[in-house]
Amino acid sequence: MKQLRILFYLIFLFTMTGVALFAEESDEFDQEINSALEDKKENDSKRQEIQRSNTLIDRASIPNILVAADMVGQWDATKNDSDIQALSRDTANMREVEFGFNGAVDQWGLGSVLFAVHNENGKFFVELHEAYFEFNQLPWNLFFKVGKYFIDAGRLNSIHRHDWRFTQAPRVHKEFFDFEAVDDFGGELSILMPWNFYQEIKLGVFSGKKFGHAHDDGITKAQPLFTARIKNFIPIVGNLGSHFGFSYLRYNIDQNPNNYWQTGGTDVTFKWQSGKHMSFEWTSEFWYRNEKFDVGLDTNKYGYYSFVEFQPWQMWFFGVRFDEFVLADNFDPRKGKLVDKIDYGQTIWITLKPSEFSYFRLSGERQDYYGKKDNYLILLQADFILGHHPAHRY
Amino acid sequence: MKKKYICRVNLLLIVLIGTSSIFSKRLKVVTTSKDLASIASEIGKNLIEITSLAGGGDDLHFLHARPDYILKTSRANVVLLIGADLEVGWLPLVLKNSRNAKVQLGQSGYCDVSRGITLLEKQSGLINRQMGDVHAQGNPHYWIDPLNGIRMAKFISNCFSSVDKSNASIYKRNFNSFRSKVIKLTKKLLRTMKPHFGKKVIVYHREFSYFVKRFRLNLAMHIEDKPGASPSPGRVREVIEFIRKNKIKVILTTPWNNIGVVSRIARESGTRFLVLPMQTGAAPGTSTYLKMIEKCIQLIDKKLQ
Repeated sequence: MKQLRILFYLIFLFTMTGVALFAEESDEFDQEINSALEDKKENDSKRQEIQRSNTLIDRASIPNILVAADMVGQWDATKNDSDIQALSRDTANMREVEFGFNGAVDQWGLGSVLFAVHNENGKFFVELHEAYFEFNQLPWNLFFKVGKYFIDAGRLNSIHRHDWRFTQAPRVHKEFFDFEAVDDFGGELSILMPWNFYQEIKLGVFSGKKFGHAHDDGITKAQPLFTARIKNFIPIVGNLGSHFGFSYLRYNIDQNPNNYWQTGGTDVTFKWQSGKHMSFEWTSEFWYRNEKFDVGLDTNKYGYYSFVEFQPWQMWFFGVRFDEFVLADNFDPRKGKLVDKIDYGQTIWITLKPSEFSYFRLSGERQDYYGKKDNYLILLQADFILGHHPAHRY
Repeated sequence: MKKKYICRVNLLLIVLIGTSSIFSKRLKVVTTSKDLASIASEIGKNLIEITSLAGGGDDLHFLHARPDYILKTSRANVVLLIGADLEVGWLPLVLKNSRNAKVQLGQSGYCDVSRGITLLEKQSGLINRQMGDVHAQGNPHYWIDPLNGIRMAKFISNCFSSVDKSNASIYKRNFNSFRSKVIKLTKKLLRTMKPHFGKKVIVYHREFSYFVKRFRLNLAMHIEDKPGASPSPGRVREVIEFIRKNKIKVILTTPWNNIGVVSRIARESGTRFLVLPMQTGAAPGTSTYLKMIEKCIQLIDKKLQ
């Protein structure tokens, strides 16, 4: 009986200790949780004050500032005169420095101004690259952009050169859109279609006084430059997506309204990424141009480029690009007949990218142009960005 | 004639089906992360239609401004973002091109949830990019503390109420119910972690600060010496030495960090590493925010035994 009583006391003592311990633990966590949530309340007014000041900064008239420096060194292994390069041969210099400012203008829209200092055969020229006003809060899913800027045609033309995956423009791009890009003064109106997949249709009208890089204003034509673009996106699986588009441009070559060209193109991109450690991109553009002249001499040109870039590690990117350009039915004085003059190009590169604000690139380029000896170029590029770089478009 | 009629009806049906989601009367909510989506669905329940831009396994710092994100955002009444510059590399472009006035900065549909949180590691004094990917406003990986989940829910509830005033009382009621659930779970998890309080851990990126603070772990070192920058070979050696000297039992990382480096450090230092699915949907068994937090604790408890 005595033993039973002792056992009973022991069980009672054990149970009470457990309850006491559990209660203490619960109280401890209750207190911790309550105080953590209370602490938050106390900090509310302080935080709101900070929020207000952040809002003030957001609304202040301080634009985002960007400086992008692009330096290129080039070694021509063959010294053939097959292409007019903006840089003189076997040289290293600044290719371009861009200074940009962007931000909200007012309740209606956003503004952006971008100056560039170009190196043209050793001389530096300052020019206005872009200055435009964007209205992104219009009804019916409309978006209007007006000013001087890189025309939205294909993929490469509206991407600034320091953001390209390679150092030099593909052959077809040089032929149709110059060494960097075509900009002009005008406007584009686009609409996001009300489907359950992404489709954007854009129509543009530009001055059309010149097409490509020039240090003058060009000449007034009978008609402006007309542009149209359709962009589509299809998500495939996970982070793999496909973007494809179609572009059209019509441009009067001179003051004779019957002398004009029409250019059509299609572009497709597949992109995949896994955080910052691995990514893949395959992009191709195909362009065709028909030039019509009053005297009846039509010219047809077409070409494509296609590149693949793979990032196997956080800082390393490896790429390869193939170019082809055809000048159709063109007279070859050596053969004495009309021939398709075909240019080929192949480029490989390695990019070391410590962060999204700098990179170093080593490229090798082979240019196999019609009627000329093969050219082999080695290019070294180093770029850095200061300040606020806007997000890259897809 | 009959064929023409059928064609027209078919075309009309295709257009109606294709555009059907535009005419839904529920509050359309777009979130940048799955965690926000999970918490928001607890607050909005059947009053909202929710879409998360990022997947569970995505690194929110590094996403592309995909056109389908633009499309989804163009139809949203509310955009919920983690904020504190976490999505700065892609979200501003998505918002700009969405053409949706309701969700632009300063509008009631633009809800930066970080504004409801007391952020850790706020930078004071001068900062520059040589310090790595530093978030001046504070560490944005706050959702991994369940008590911050309550704060997020409160902010989201207020946000929904300001956009959809008629249902404000429902949002508040749902918030209170979620709050009770989180408090109950947090107590349970703290009890689970009690034997591990004070244990030293090493982490890859600065995304565990809120987690180790809440569950009283001792954050001994980051593998990245500068946030966002890949650790140099010298840094890797330094970490290995540190682990050996301090007998660290576990390295914590997430699926979107450099697992190769972590695995090498663990192998060479003789310790173990644990990949924590610190976002909703990042691994099986993490389909909701609360399940994800619980899963992380289960995994860490097992590893620290």
